[in-house]
Amino acid sequence: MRALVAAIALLVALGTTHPAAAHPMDVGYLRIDLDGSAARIKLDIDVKLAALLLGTDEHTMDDATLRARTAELATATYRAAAVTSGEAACTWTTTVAELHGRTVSLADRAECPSAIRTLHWAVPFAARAPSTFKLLVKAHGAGGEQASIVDRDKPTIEVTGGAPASVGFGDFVWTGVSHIGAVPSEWRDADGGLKLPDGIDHIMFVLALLLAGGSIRQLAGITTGFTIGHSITLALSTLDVVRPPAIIIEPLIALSIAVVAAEALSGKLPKYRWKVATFFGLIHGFGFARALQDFDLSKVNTVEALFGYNLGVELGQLTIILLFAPLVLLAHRNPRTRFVVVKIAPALILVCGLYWFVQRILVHA
Amino acid sequence: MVMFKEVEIRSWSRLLACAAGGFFLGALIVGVVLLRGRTVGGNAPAARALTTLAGPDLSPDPAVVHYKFAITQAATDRADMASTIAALEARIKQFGKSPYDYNEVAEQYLRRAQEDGDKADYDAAEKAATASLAIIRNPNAGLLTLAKVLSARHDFREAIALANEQLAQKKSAGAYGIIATAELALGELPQAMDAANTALVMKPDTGNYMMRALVLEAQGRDAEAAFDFARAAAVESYGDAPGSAHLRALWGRFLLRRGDYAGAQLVLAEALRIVPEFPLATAQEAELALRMGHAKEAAAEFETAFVASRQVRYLIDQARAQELAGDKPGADSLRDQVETIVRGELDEGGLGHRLDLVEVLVDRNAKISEAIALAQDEVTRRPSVMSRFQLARALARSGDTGAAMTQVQAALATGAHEAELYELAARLERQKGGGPRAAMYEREADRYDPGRSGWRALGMDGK
Repeated sequence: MRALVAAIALLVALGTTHPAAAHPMDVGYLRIDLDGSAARIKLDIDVKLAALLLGTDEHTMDDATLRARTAELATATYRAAAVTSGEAACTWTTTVAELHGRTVSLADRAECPSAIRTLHWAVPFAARAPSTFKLLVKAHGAGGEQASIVDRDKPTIEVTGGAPASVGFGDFVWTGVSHIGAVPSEWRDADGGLKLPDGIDHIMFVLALLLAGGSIRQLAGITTGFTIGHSITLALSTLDVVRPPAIIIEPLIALSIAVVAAEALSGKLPKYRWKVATFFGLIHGFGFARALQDFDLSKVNTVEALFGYNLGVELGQLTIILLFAPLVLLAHRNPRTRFVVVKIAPALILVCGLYWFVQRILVHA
Repeated sequence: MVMFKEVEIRSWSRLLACAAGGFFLGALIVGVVLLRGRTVGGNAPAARALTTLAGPDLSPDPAVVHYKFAITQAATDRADMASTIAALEARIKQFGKSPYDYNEVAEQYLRRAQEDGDKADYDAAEKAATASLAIIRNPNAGLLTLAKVLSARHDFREAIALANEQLAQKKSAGAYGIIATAELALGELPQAMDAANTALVMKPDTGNYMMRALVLEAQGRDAEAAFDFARAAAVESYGDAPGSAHLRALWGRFLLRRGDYAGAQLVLAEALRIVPEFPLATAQEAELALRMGHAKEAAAEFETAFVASRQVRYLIDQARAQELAGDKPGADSLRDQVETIVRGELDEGGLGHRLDLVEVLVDRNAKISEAIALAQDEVTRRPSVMSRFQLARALARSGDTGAAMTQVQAALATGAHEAELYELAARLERQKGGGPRAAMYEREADRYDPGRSGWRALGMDGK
C-alpha cells in the first residue's frame, strides 16, 4: 500500500498531462473522541516526521520497523507528557501503529479517573518538528466537535467535554433508560456485536427482586421503597451534597444484588423486603448519579434533569419487569421450569453479585 | 393478584395485559431507537433513488470502466529515490557540471517534492533545473522540468512560456501537455483545447485523452468529454494502476457533477478497487454522499481523504459536510483552523491556496473585503471558472449583487455548467426580482444536482 501511494505521487510528478494538483501540506492530524471517562485518540503524521522523531532515516520506516518501535514513537509523540482531566492524570492503555502510504497512524486510549470535563495535554513533539509543521486537532465530545491547531508557538491542547448545547428533558429521560440498559443499543458494541450493557448490575438487581416474588402489595412496596431510596441519593449526589467514592458504592451495589438474590433463594424475609429495597435503593442512587455527572448541570435546569433522569430510570426498570414478568409467570406453570426460576436463576444472580463484589473491591484496591 | 412463588395466578387477563404491556413498551423503545438511528444515519434526501439526468447519455459502459489488468502494487521505493539523488549529486561534484545530470537530479527532487510536499525539494528542483539551463538553454529537457516546478507553484504563465520555448526547438507531447494543464488552470479554454488536441495527435495515450476530457468538461461539451474519458480507459496499459485509479476518480467527478450519480458510483467504486483509499476517489465518494444527503458519512470520508493526502481542500469540504449535518459550530471551528493553516502556508511563500483562503472566508462570512481583494487578484491572474465563482460568492456576501452576477455570467459563458454556479445565479436573480430567470437557473441547478441535499446553498446567503 505504501509503495502504491508513493507511485500515485510519482504519477502526478511525471505525468505532464494531469491537471494542476495541490501539494500535500506539512500538517499532522489528531482525532480525539471523548467518551465519559475515556479519550480515544488517533494521531496521523507523515512518515518523514515520524522518522525524524525516532532519529532514523525515513527510508527505513516500513511496517516491521514501525511495529517494533511503536512504543518508542508513542513516547516521542503523544505520550511525551501527561494527559490530565481536571487535576487527575489519565492512563494510556495500548498503542496500535499502522503505516498507510506516507501516513503513520497511532491509535490509543486514555482512561481518566472520572468523566472528562476538560482535558489538558502538552504536545512537546511539535517543538521538535519543522517550523512549518502544524498539528490539526479535532476533538469530539458531548459538546460537539472542536478544532484547534498545535504548533511550536502553542504546543498544548485543551479540550472541553460537557453536555451538548441543546440538551433537554428528553435527553435526560433517554439517559436514564440507557443507563439501566433497557435499550437495544446498550447491548451492542461498536462493531455491532453483542455485549453486556453498563447497567447489567441494575438489571440483575431488578431481576432478583422479581424472582423473589410476592403479592402485588409486596411488589408495590418494594418498588416504591427502591424508587424513594434511589431518588433521595440521586438528588443528594447530583446536587453535590453527598458524593461517596466509587470504591464504596460500586462493591455495595454488587453486594446488594447478592443479598437480594440470596433472599429470593431462601424466601425467609418477605416482610422486610421493602425495607431492604429502600436501603439498597439509597446505594443504587449514588450509582445512577454517575451517568448524570457526564452532563454539565450548570447549563441546564437541575430539577428538569433530575426528574427526567429519574423518570428514565423508572421506565427502564419497568421495561425490564414487563419483559421478564410474563416469562417468570409462565415458567411457574411447569414444575421443571419453576425450579429454574425459583432456584437456579437466583443462584446464578447470587454468584454474579458475589463475583462483581470481589472484582470491584480488587479493581478499586 | 399475581403470584410467582406461591403460584396464585388468579387472573389470566392480568397476565395477558402484563405481557401485552411489556411488548408494547419494548416495541415503543425499539421504535424510538430506530427513529433515532434514522436521524443520525441519514437525512430525508437519502431515501431518494439514484437519479440520472435527462440530456446526453453520459452513463459509462461497465465493461470499459472495469480495469482489465491484474491489480499489482507498483514497486516504488523512496530509498531508491534518495540514493539516486545522492549518486547524482556526487557525480556532479566529482565529474563536473553536466546539464543532463542537473536535469536528472531536478526531476528526482520534483518527484519527491510532489510526493511529500516538502518545499525544500521544490527549491532544490528549481535550483538544479536552472543550473542545467545555465549550461545549455535549448535543447534541454530542463525547460520542461522547470515548467513543471513553476506549474506546481501556480506560476502558470511562466510555465507556458518555458514550454513554448522548448517547442520552438523541438515538438513534444510533454510540452503541449504542460501548456494544456496550465491553460486549463488559467481558464484559457480555447488555448488549452488546442494544446490538448495537439498532444493527443502526437501521443494518443490515456493521459492525453484524459487531459482533453478535462478541457471538454470545462467547456461544457459533456458528450465529448464522456467519450474521451471512456477512450482514456480503453487505451490504458498494464502497470499503471495508480494512473488508472486517477483517471476513474476524475471520470467519477465529472459524472457526479453532471448528476449521473449511478454512473459516478460505478466509476468511483472501480477506482477504489484498483487503489483502495485513493484520496481523490475517496473525496469524490464523499462529495457523492454529500449530494445524496448523507452528510455525516461525507464528513468522515473527507476526513479519510485528508489524512491520506494532507490536502487542505478536503478539510474545507469536510467543514461543508459538517455544516450540512447540522454542526455549524464544529464546521466554523474547523474553518478557523484551516484559515490558520492556509495563512501559515501563504506566509511561508507557499504554493497557491489563495482561493482556498477566499473560500474559507466566504464560508465563514468573515473578512469579506479581504476575500474580495484576494479573489479579484486571482481572477486577474487566472480567470478560471473557480476564481470567478469564488469572487462572485464573496461579492454576493458583501451585497454587491450586480458585480457578483457579472462574474457568474462570465463563468457560465465559458460553457461551465456546475450546479453551484446556477444556484448562485438563481439567488442573485431572485434578489434582483427576476423571477422567471431565477426559476430557469434553479431548474438547471436541479438538473445537475438531482439529490438536492442542500449542499449547494451553503455560504451563499447575501449580506
